[in-house]
Amino acid sequence: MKAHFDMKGMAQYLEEIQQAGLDIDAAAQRALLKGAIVLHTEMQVLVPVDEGDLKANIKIVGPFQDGNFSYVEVGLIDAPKEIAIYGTVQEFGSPSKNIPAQPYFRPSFDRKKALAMRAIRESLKAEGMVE
Amino acid sequence: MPTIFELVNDALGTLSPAVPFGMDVYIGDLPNQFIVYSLISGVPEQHADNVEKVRLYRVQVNIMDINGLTSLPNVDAAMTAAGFVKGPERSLPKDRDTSHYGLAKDYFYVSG
Repeated sequence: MKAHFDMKGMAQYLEEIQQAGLDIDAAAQRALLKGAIVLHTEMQVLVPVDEGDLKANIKIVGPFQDGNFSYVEVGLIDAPKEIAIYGTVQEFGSPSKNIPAQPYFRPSFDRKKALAMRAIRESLKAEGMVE
Repeated sequence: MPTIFELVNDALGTLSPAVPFGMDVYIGDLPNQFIVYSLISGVPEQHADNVEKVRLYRVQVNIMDINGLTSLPNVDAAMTAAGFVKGPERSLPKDRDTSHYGLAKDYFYVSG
């Protein structure tokens, strides 16, 4: 009885693993972007518009990768200070100023999170990453 | 079946000592301490045979107080007793004109 190990094909196998890793990361980022677009679109619908500055500053930034962690940001990213303050007041209201909340951020997640997850899943499925 | 607004009204009405509250905005002179609540979202979560079975509400309760946020009415107890589940919360910037501090608390309610 004997066992036999060899390294034949191992280099190719490792190369394929590495390539798959690259493909998965890229596919994950494309999928995240699809989900982000769903949320961004809903925010654009719900955001209160006066002169449109707040709406114009709701952005998708990314996708980014930090090690094995991929992510994308949606919302008021790096917006000018006055826009960020205005956006916060609209989202949460200012009771002491008698300004009611006109939320656009939380309702977008509440209403579209399932659709965003589906967009992510379908993107991964289309790339053969999940069944 | 009471509406979400009736549920919040009833819950905040049980606070003891009582705290004046209003929906969306507080009408009249602002007290030192008051509460404003808003419906943030009401999303259907489950359907069966084309009939909505479950809806998830998110309600925001803003507690405003000129004495800061260290001693606030127990809104958590009032809301959870009414069937709400605690969600995220965040402080609001102090109002430089009225000197009110603010705390925005989210609660979720599942109906159906």
